[in-house]
Amino acid sequence: MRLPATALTFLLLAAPPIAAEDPIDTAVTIRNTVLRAEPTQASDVVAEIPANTSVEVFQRQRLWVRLAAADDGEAEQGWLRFTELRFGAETNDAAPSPEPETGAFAGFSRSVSGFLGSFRRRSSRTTQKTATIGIRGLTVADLEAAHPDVKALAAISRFAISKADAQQFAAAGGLAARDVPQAQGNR
Amino acid sequence: MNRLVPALFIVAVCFLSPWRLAPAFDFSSVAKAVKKLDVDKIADVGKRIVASTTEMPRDQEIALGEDLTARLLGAMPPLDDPALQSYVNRVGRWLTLQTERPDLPWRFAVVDTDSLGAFAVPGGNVVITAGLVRLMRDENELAGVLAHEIAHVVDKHHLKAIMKQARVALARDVAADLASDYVSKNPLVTEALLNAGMTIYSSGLDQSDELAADSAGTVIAARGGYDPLGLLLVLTTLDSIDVAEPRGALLFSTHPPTRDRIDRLAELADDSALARGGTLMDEARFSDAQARLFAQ
Repeated sequence: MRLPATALTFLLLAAPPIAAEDPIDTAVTIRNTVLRAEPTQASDVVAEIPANTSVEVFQRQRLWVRLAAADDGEAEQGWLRFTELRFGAETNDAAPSPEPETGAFAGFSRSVSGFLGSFRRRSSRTTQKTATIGIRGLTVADLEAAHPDVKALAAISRFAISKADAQQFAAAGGLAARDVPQAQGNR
Repeated sequence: MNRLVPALFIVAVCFLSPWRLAPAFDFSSVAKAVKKLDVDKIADVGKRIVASTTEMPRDQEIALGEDLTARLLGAMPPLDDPALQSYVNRVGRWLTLQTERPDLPWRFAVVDTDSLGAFAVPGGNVVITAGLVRLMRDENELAGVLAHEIAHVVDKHHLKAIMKQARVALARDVAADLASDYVSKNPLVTEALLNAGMTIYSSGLDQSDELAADSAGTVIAARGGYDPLGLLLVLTTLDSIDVAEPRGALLFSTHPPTRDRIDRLAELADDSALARGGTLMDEARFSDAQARLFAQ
Protein backbone atom coordinates (compact mmCIF):
# COMPACT_ATOMS: atom_id res chain seq x y z
CA MET A 1 0.00 0.00 0.00
CA ARG A 2 1.23 3.38 -0.88
CA LEU A 3 0.34 6.39 1.23
CA PRO A 4 -0.26 9.73 -0.36
CA ALA A 5 2.63 12.09 0.25
CA THR A 6 0.49 14.47 2.30
CA ALA A 7 -0.60 11.68 4.62
CA LEU A 8 2.97 10.53 5.05
CA THR A 9 4.06 14.04 5.90
CA PHE A 10 1.25 14.30 8.41
CA LEU A 11 2.26 11.05 10.09
CA LEU A 12 5.86 12.15 10.35
CA LEU A 13 4.90 15.45 11.87
CA ALA A 14 2.44 13.92 14.30
CA ALA A 15 4.80 11.24 15.53
CA PRO A 16 6.58 12.39 18.66
CA PRO A 17 10.20 12.85 17.73
CA ILE A 18 12.61 10.82 19.79
CA ALA A 19 14.28 12.67 22.66
CA ALA A 20 12.21 15.78 22.12
CA GLU A 21 10.93 15.86 25.68
CA ASP A 22 10.92 19.43 26.92
CA PRO A 23 12.86 19.98 30.13
CA ILE A 24 10.86 21.53 32.97
CA ASP A 25 13.97 23.23 34.27
CA THR A 26 17.69 23.53 34.03
CA ALA A 27 20.15 23.17 36.88
CA VAL A 28 23.79 22.67 37.78
CA THR A 29 25.26 19.98 39.99
CA ILE A 30 26.67 21.42 43.19
CA ARG A 31 29.11 18.56 43.89
CA ASN A 32 30.48 15.41 42.31
CA THR A 33 27.60 13.02 42.15
CA VAL A 34 26.16 10.00 40.36
CA LEU A 35 23.17 9.33 38.14
CA ARG A 36 21.15 6.25 38.95
CA ALA A 37 18.93 4.07 36.82
CA GLU A 38 15.96 4.41 39.16
CA PRO A 39 14.95 6.96 41.82
CA THR A 40 16.38 4.99 44.76
CA GLN A 41 19.75 4.96 46.49
CA ALA A 42 19.98 1.21 45.92
CA SER A 43 19.63 1.54 42.17
CA ASP A 44 22.54 1.03 39.73
CA VAL A 45 24.85 3.93 39.01
CA VAL A 46 24.63 4.77 35.32
CA ALA A 47 27.04 7.70 35.22
CA GLU A 48 29.32 9.79 37.37
CA ILE A 49 28.73 13.50 37.05
CA PRO A 50 31.26 16.06 38.18
CA ALA A 51 30.34 19.19 40.10
CA ASN A 52 29.12 22.13 38.06
CA THR A 53 27.65 20.02 35.26
CA SER A 54 24.69 21.57 33.47
CA VAL A 55 21.62 19.37 33.40
CA GLU A 56 18.14 19.42 31.95
CA VAL A 57 15.45 18.26 34.35
CA PHE A 58 12.42 16.41 32.99
CA GLN A 59 10.51 15.12 35.96
CA ARG A 60 10.44 15.17 39.76
CA GLN A 61 9.40 12.26 41.92
CA ARG A 62 9.57 13.09 45.62
CA LEU A 63 13.26 13.78 46.36
CA TRP A 64 14.41 12.60 42.94
CA VAL A 65 14.56 14.18 39.53
CA ARG A 66 15.03 12.52 36.15
CA LEU A 67 17.47 14.44 34.03
CA ALA A 68 19.95 14.50 31.19
CA ALA A 69 23.49 15.66 31.78
CA ALA A 70 25.70 16.64 28.90
CA ASP A 71 28.97 14.79 29.33
CA ASP A 72 31.50 15.49 26.56
CA GLY A 73 28.73 15.93 24.05
CA GLU A 74 27.04 12.70 25.05
CA ALA A 75 23.88 13.09 27.10
CA GLU A 76 23.70 10.81 30.10
CA GLN A 77 20.22 10.18 31.45
CA GLY A 78 19.24 9.06 34.89
CA TRP A 79 18.01 10.01 38.34
CA LEU A 80 19.50 11.92 41.23
CA ARG A 81 18.18 13.75 44.28
CA PHE A 82 17.28 17.35 43.57
CA THR A 83 19.26 18.40 46.61
CA GLU A 84 22.38 17.71 44.52
CA LEU A 85 21.39 20.54 42.18
CA ARG A 86 21.15 24.28 42.10
CA PHE A 87 18.20 25.26 39.96
CA GLY A 88 17.78 28.11 37.56
CA ALA A 89 21.49 28.50 37.08
CA GLU A 90 22.80 29.29 33.64
CA THR A 91 23.74 26.27 31.62
CA ASN A 92 26.60 26.32 29.17
CA ASP A 93 24.70 24.57 26.44
CA ALA A 94 21.18 25.70 27.23
CA ALA A 95 18.61 25.95 24.48
CA PRO A 96 17.25 29.44 23.90
CA SER A 97 14.73 30.39 26.54
CA PRO A 98 11.15 29.73 25.46
CA GLU A 99 10.21 33.04 27.02
CA PRO A 100 12.13 35.90 25.46
CA GLU A 101 10.95 38.37 28.08
CA THR A 102 13.07 36.60 30.63
CA GLY A 103 16.05 38.31 29.04
CA ALA A 104 15.30 41.63 30.62
CA PHE A 105 14.53 40.05 33.96
CA ALA A 106 16.93 37.19 33.76
CA GLY A 107 18.06 37.59 37.33
CA PHE A 108 14.59 37.27 38.70
CA SER A 109 13.47 34.57 36.32
CA ARG A 110 16.44 32.46 37.29
CA SER A 111 15.53 32.86 40.89
CA VAL A 112 12.27 31.02 40.43
CA SER A 113 12.89 27.43 39.65
CA GLY A 114 10.24 25.60 37.73
CA PHE A 115 10.86 21.95 38.27
CA LEU A 116 7.33 21.26 39.29
CA GLY A 117 6.39 21.34 35.63
CA SER A 118 3.62 23.81 35.04
CA PHE A 119 5.31 26.33 37.24
CA ARG A 120 7.43 27.66 34.41
CA ARG A 121 4.43 29.49 32.97
CA ARG A 122 3.54 30.96 36.31
CA SER A 123 7.06 32.10 36.94
CA SER A 124 7.02 34.06 33.71
CA ARG A 125 3.96 35.88 34.97
CA THR A 126 5.83 36.49 38.19
CA THR A 127 8.57 38.01 36.13
CA GLN A 128 6.26 40.47 34.50
CA LYS A 129 4.38 41.54 37.56
CA THR A 130 7.15 41.87 40.05
CA ALA A 131 10.27 42.88 38.26
CA THR A 132 12.27 43.39 41.38
CA ILE A 133 15.75 43.95 40.06
CA GLY A 134 17.06 46.91 41.95
CA ILE A 135 14.38 46.97 44.61
CA ARG A 136 15.55 48.02 47.99
CA GLY A 137 15.10 45.12 50.36
CA LEU A 138 14.03 45.38 53.95
CA THR A 139 17.03 46.41 56.01
CA VAL A 140 18.21 46.25 59.57
CA ALA A 141 17.78 50.02 59.74
CA ASP A 142 14.10 49.65 58.77
CA LEU A 143 13.53 47.27 61.64
CA GLU A 144 15.38 49.38 64.15
CA ALA A 145 13.61 52.57 63.11
CA ALA A 146 10.16 50.98 63.14
CA HIS A 147 7.49 52.54 65.34
CA PRO A 148 4.84 50.22 66.72
CA ASP A 149 1.75 50.18 64.53
CA VAL A 150 -1.03 49.25 66.93
CA LYS A 151 -3.72 49.75 64.29
CA ALA A 152 -2.03 47.27 61.99
CA LEU A 153 -1.85 44.77 64.85
CA ALA A 154 -5.60 45.18 65.44
CA ALA A 155 -6.23 44.83 61.71
CA ILE A 156 -4.42 41.50 61.39
CA SER A 157 -5.91 40.19 64.63
CA ARG A 158 -9.31 40.17 62.93
CA PHE A 159 -8.18 37.31 60.73
CA ALA A 160 -7.29 34.94 63.55
CA ILE A 161 -8.93 31.55 63.04
CA SER A 162 -10.63 29.32 65.60
CA LYS A 163 -9.54 25.72 66.05
CA ALA A 164 -12.83 24.50 64.62
CA ASP A 165 -12.45 26.65 61.50
CA ALA A 166 -8.90 25.41 61.02
CA GLN A 167 -10.04 21.79 61.29
CA GLN A 168 -12.80 22.38 58.79
CA PHE A 169 -10.37 24.05 56.40
CA ALA A 170 -7.96 21.12 56.67
CA ALA A 171 -10.67 18.53 56.07
CA ALA A 172 -12.00 20.43 53.06
CA GLY A 173 -8.54 20.29 51.51
CA GLY A 174 -8.03 16.59 52.17
CA LEU A 175 -5.63 17.12 55.07
CA ALA A 176 -5.75 14.80 58.06
CA ALA A 177 -3.50 14.90 61.10
CA ARG A 178 -1.12 11.97 61.33
CA ASP A 179 1.48 10.67 63.72
CA VAL A 180 5.00 11.63 62.80
CA PRO A 181 7.75 11.09 65.38
CA GLN A 182 9.99 14.00 66.28
CA ALA A 183 13.10 14.06 64.11
CA GLN A 184 16.20 12.52 65.63
CA GLY A 185 18.66 14.92 67.15
CA ASN A 186 16.03 17.59 67.49
CA ARG A 187 15.30 19.03 70.94
CA MET B 1 56.75 15.55 105.47
CA ASN B 2 56.59 12.09 107.02
CA ARG B 3 56.07 13.56 110.44
CA LEU B 4 53.51 15.97 109.21
CA VAL B 5 51.09 13.31 108.04
CA PRO B 6 50.38 11.70 111.47
CA ALA B 7 50.21 15.16 113.01
CA LEU B 8 47.62 16.23 110.50
CA PHE B 9 45.73 13.01 111.14
CA ILE B 10 45.55 13.73 114.87
CA VAL B 11 44.42 17.25 114.24
CA ALA B 12 41.79 15.98 111.89
CA VAL B 13 40.47 13.41 114.36
CA CYS B 14 40.35 15.95 117.16
CA PHE B 15 38.47 18.51 115.23
CA LEU B 16 36.30 16.38 113.01
CA SER B 17 35.21 13.51 115.24
CA PRO B 18 32.81 15.54 117.43
CA TRP B 19 30.96 16.51 114.24
CA ARG B 20 30.81 12.92 113.15
CA LEU B 21 29.67 11.57 116.49
CA ALA B 22 27.06 14.17 117.16
CA PRO B 23 26.22 15.71 113.85
CA ALA B 24 22.61 16.51 114.66
CA PHE B 25 23.38 18.73 117.59
CA ASP B 26 26.37 20.49 116.19
CA PHE B 27 25.02 20.84 112.71
CA SER B 28 21.77 22.44 113.75
CA SER B 29 23.44 24.93 115.99
CA VAL B 30 25.87 25.86 113.27
CA ALA B 31 23.07 26.02 110.77
CA LYS B 32 21.13 28.33 113.03
CA ALA B 33 24.09 30.61 113.35
CA VAL B 34 24.63 30.62 109.63
CA LYS B 35 20.98 31.27 109.01
CA LYS B 36 20.92 34.27 111.25
CA LEU B 37 23.85 35.79 109.43
CA ASP B 38 23.64 34.81 105.80
CA VAL B 39 20.84 32.54 104.75
CA ASP B 40 18.38 35.31 104.04
CA LYS B 41 20.90 36.96 101.84
CA ILE B 42 21.93 33.71 100.17
CA ALA B 43 18.33 32.77 99.55
CA ASP B 44 17.68 36.16 98.07
CA VAL B 45 20.60 35.81 95.69
CA GLY B 46 19.49 32.28 94.87
CA LYS B 47 16.00 33.47 94.15
CA ARG B 48 17.34 36.08 91.80
CA ILE B 49 19.47 33.56 89.98
CA VAL B 50 16.47 31.26 89.64
CA ALA B 51 14.25 34.12 88.57
CA SER B 52 16.68 35.20 85.91
CA THR B 53 16.67 31.78 84.31
CA THR B 54 12.95 31.14 84.69
CA GLU B 55 10.98 31.40 81.52
CA MET B 56 8.60 34.26 81.05
CA PRO B 57 5.03 33.41 82.05
CA ARG B 58 2.62 32.82 79.17
CA ASP B 59 0.56 36.00 79.58
CA GLN B 60 3.71 38.10 79.63
CA GLU B 61 5.09 36.31 76.59
CA ILE B 62 1.86 37.17 74.79
CA ALA B 63 2.04 40.83 75.84
CA LEU B 64 5.67 41.09 74.71
CA GLY B 65 4.79 39.36 71.45
CA GLU B 66 2.02 41.84 70.71
CA ASP B 67 4.34 44.78 71.25
CA LEU B 68 7.02 43.23 69.05
CA THR B 69 4.55 42.33 66.33
CA ALA B 70 3.25 45.91 66.33
CA ARG B 71 6.83 47.08 65.82
CA LEU B 72 7.46 44.64 62.96
CA LEU B 73 4.22 45.81 61.34
CA GLY B 74 5.50 49.35 61.72
CA ALA B 75 8.36 48.39 59.39
CA MET B 76 6.27 46.16 57.11
CA PRO B 77 2.58 47.06 56.79
CA PRO B 78 0.13 44.17 56.51
CA LEU B 79 -1.29 43.55 53.07
CA ASP B 80 -4.83 44.88 52.75
CA ASP B 81 -6.36 41.67 51.46
CA PRO B 82 -8.78 39.93 53.83
CA ALA B 83 -9.14 36.84 51.63
CA LEU B 84 -5.40 36.24 51.48
CA GLN B 85 -4.91 37.00 55.19
CA SER B 86 -7.70 34.60 56.13
CA TYR B 87 -6.29 31.88 53.90
CA VAL B 88 -2.81 32.12 55.41
CA ASN B 89 -4.32 32.16 58.91
CA ARG B 90 -6.23 28.96 58.15
CA VAL B 91 -3.13 27.12 56.94
CA GLY B 92 -1.12 28.38 59.90
CA ARG B 93 -3.77 27.73 62.54
CA TRP B 94 -4.19 24.15 61.35
CA LEU B 95 -0.45 23.63 61.72
CA THR B 96 -0.45 25.02 65.27
CA LEU B 97 -2.94 22.31 66.23
CA GLN B 98 -0.15 19.80 65.54
CA THR B 99 2.09 21.35 68.21
CA GLU B 100 2.38 21.39 72.00
CA ARG B 101 1.09 24.97 72.12
CA PRO B 102 -2.23 24.87 70.26
CA ASP B 103 -3.89 27.30 72.68
CA LEU B 104 -1.76 30.37 72.12
CA PRO B 105 -3.62 33.26 70.44
CA TRP B 106 -2.08 32.43 67.08
CA ARG B 107 -2.26 34.99 64.32
CA PHE B 108 -0.56 35.18 60.95
CA ALA B 109 0.05 38.22 58.81
CA VAL B 110 1.17 38.67 55.21
CA VAL B 111 3.09 41.92 54.91
CA ASP B 112 3.39 44.11 51.88
CA THR B 113 7.04 43.93 50.85
CA ASP B 114 8.97 42.28 48.04
CA SER B 115 11.68 41.36 50.51
CA LEU B 116 11.89 37.67 51.31
CA GLY B 117 11.32 36.70 54.89
CA ALA B 118 9.19 35.25 57.62
CA PHE B 119 9.29 36.17 61.30
CA ALA B 120 8.25 34.28 64.39
CA VAL B 121 7.26 36.43 67.33
CA PRO B 122 6.72 35.12 70.87
CA GLY B 123 3.18 34.51 72.00
CA GLY B 124 1.93 33.02 68.74
CA ASN B 125 2.61 35.59 66.02
CA VAL B 126 3.96 34.82 62.56
CA VAL B 127 4.69 37.42 59.88
CA ILE B 128 5.46 36.41 56.30
CA THR B 129 6.32 38.68 53.39
CA ALA B 130 4.34 38.84 50.15
CA GLY B 131 7.64 38.47 48.31
CA LEU B 132 8.23 35.06 49.83
CA VAL B 133 4.66 33.86 49.19
CA ARG B 134 5.06 34.87 45.53
CA LEU B 135 7.99 32.46 45.17
CA MET B 136 6.00 29.48 46.40
CA ARG B 137 4.41 26.86 44.21
CA ASP B 138 1.75 25.35 46.41
CA GLU B 139 0.20 25.12 49.88
CA ASN B 140 2.73 22.49 50.94
CA GLU B 141 5.49 25.06 50.56
CA LEU B 142 3.52 27.71 52.42
CA ALA B 143 2.88 25.18 55.19
CA GLY B 144 6.59 24.33 55.32
CA VAL B 145 7.60 27.93 55.92
CA LEU B 146 4.80 28.68 58.40
CA ALA B 147 5.65 25.48 60.29
CA HIS B 148 9.29 26.56 60.56
CA GLU B 149 8.15 29.83 62.19
CA ILE B 150 5.63 28.03 64.39
CA ALA B 151 8.45 25.77 65.61
CA HIS B 152 10.41 28.87 66.68
CA VAL B 153 7.43 30.05 68.74
CA VAL B 154 6.68 26.63 70.23
CA ASP B 155 10.30 26.15 71.27
CA LYS B 156 10.55 29.79 72.42
CA HIS B 157 13.72 30.44 70.44
CA HIS B 158 13.17 34.18 70.16
CA LEU B 159 11.85 34.57 73.69
CA LYS B 160 14.95 32.93 75.13
CA ALA B 161 17.27 34.94 72.89
CA ILE B 162 15.49 38.18 73.76
CA MET B 163 15.70 37.57 77.51
CA LYS B 164 19.33 36.59 77.27
CA GLN B 165 20.13 39.74 75.36
CA ALA B 166 18.07 41.98 77.64
CA ARG B 167 19.82 40.57 80.71
CA VAL B 168 23.12 41.61 79.29
CA ALA B 169 21.78 45.07 78.59
CA LEU B 170 20.33 45.59 82.05
CA ALA B 171 21.97 45.81 85.41
CA ARG B 172 21.91 42.46 87.16
CA ASP B 173 19.44 43.46 89.89
CA VAL B 174 16.89 44.63 87.40
CA ALA B 175 17.47 41.66 85.16
CA ALA B 176 16.47 39.29 87.92
CA ASP B 177 12.90 40.56 87.65
CA LEU B 178 12.89 40.76 83.87
CA ALA B 179 9.83 38.64 83.34
CA SER B 180 7.53 40.21 85.92
CA ASP B 181 8.67 43.76 85.28
CA TYR B 182 7.68 43.54 81.65
CA VAL B 183 4.01 43.46 82.33
CA SER B 184 4.22 45.91 85.21
CA LYS B 185 5.75 48.17 82.59
CA ASN B 186 9.00 48.95 84.26
CA PRO B 187 10.11 51.32 81.50
CA LEU B 188 13.72 50.17 81.72
CA VAL B 189 12.80 46.50 81.35
CA THR B 190 10.18 47.14 78.69
CA GLU B 191 12.63 49.12 76.62
CA ALA B 192 15.40 46.56 77.05
CA LEU B 193 13.17 43.67 75.99
CA LEU B 194 11.72 45.43 72.97
CA ASN B 195 15.14 46.61 71.84
CA ALA B 196 16.54 43.13 72.36
CA GLY B 197 13.64 41.78 70.30
CA MET B 198 14.25 44.06 67.35
CA THR B 199 17.96 43.29 67.52
CA ILE B 200 17.22 39.58 67.28
CA TYR B 201 15.09 40.17 64.17
CA SER B 202 17.87 42.08 62.47
CA SER B 203 20.80 39.97 63.64
CA GLY B 204 19.21 36.53 63.71
CA LEU B 205 19.01 33.65 66.14
CA ASP B 206 21.70 31.10 66.83
CA GLN B 207 22.15 29.01 63.72
CA SER B 208 21.39 25.88 65.70
CA ASP B 209 17.93 27.28 66.48
CA GLU B 210 17.32 27.80 62.76
CA LEU B 211 18.35 24.26 61.87
CA ALA B 212 16.22 22.92 64.72
CA ALA B 213 13.23 24.89 63.44
CA ASP B 214 13.80 23.47 59.94
CA SER B 215 13.52 19.91 61.17
CA ALA B 216 10.81 20.58 63.77
CA GLY B 217 8.83 22.55 61.20
CA THR B 218 9.11 19.74 58.69
CA VAL B 219 7.67 17.37 61.27
CA ILE B 220 4.83 19.81 62.13
CA ALA B 221 3.89 20.11 58.44
CA ALA B 222 3.96 16.33 58.02
CA ARG B 223 1.76 15.92 61.10
CA GLY B 224 -0.74 18.26 59.47
CA GLY B 225 -0.91 16.00 56.43
CA TYR B 226 1.26 18.22 54.25
CA ASP B 227 4.08 17.02 52.05
CA PRO B 228 7.14 17.18 54.32
CA LEU B 229 9.24 18.30 51.36
CA GLY B 230 7.50 21.71 51.28
CA LEU B 231 10.14 23.61 53.24
CA LEU B 232 12.97 21.82 51.43
CA LEU B 233 11.50 22.91 48.10
CA VAL B 234 11.25 26.54 49.24
CA LEU B 235 14.87 26.39 50.35
CA THR B 236 15.80 25.00 46.95
CA THR B 237 14.14 28.03 45.36
CA LEU B 238 15.95 30.36 47.76
CA ASP B 239 19.22 28.63 46.89
CA SER B 240 18.78 29.77 43.29
CA ILE B 241 18.62 33.43 44.36
CA ASP B 242 21.79 35.48 44.34
CA VAL B 243 22.62 36.27 47.97
CA ALA B 244 23.55 39.77 46.83
CA GLU B 245 19.97 40.55 45.77
CA PRO B 246 18.59 43.21 48.14
CA ARG B 247 15.27 41.42 48.60
CA GLY B 248 17.08 38.47 50.16
CA ALA B 249 19.64 40.41 52.19
CA LEU B 250 17.94 40.23 55.59
CA LEU B 251 16.86 36.61 55.17
CA PHE B 252 20.28 35.39 54.09
CA SER B 253 22.18 37.40 56.70
CA THR B 254 20.05 36.06 59.55
CA HIS B 255 19.99 32.38 58.57
CA PRO B 256 22.54 29.61 58.09
CA PRO B 257 23.77 29.15 54.50
CA THR B 258 20.82 27.87 52.46
CA ARG B 259 22.89 24.97 51.16
CA ASP B 260 23.55 23.78 54.73
CA ARG B 261 19.83 23.92 55.49
CA ILE B 262 19.03 21.91 52.36
CA ASP B 263 21.61 19.25 53.15
CA ARG B 264 20.34 18.90 56.73
CA LEU B 265 16.75 18.50 55.60
CA ALA B 266 17.74 16.06 52.86
CA GLU B 267 19.18 13.82 55.57
CA LEU B 268 15.92 14.10 57.48
CA ALA B 269 13.95 13.19 54.37
CA ASP B 270 15.63 9.80 54.41
CA ASP B 271 13.54 9.07 57.44
CA SER B 272 10.71 6.83 56.31
CA ALA B 273 8.00 8.84 58.08
CA LEU B 274 9.04 11.92 56.15
CA ALA B 275 9.41 10.13 52.84
CA ARG B 276 5.62 9.90 52.56
CA GLY B 277 3.91 12.53 50.49
CA GLY B 278 1.09 14.75 51.67
CA THR B 279 -2.65 14.31 51.30
CA LEU B 280 -3.57 17.78 50.11
CA MET B 281 -6.23 17.57 47.40
CA ASP B 282 -7.29 21.18 46.94
CA GLU B 283 -4.59 22.84 44.89
CA ALA B 284 -6.77 25.68 43.65
CA ARG B 285 -7.09 27.46 46.97
CA PHE B 286 -3.38 28.26 47.09
CA SER B 287 -3.32 29.38 43.46
CA ASP B 288 -6.37 31.57 44.03
CA ALA B 289 -4.86 33.16 47.12
CA GLN B 290 -1.46 33.65 45.52
CA ALA B 291 -3.01 35.14 42.38
CA ARG B 292 -4.18 38.04 44.53
CA LEU B 293 -0.54 38.94 45.10
CA PHE B 294 0.13 39.13 41.39
CA ALA B 295 -2.99 41.16 40.72
CA GLN B 296 -1.95 43.95 43.06
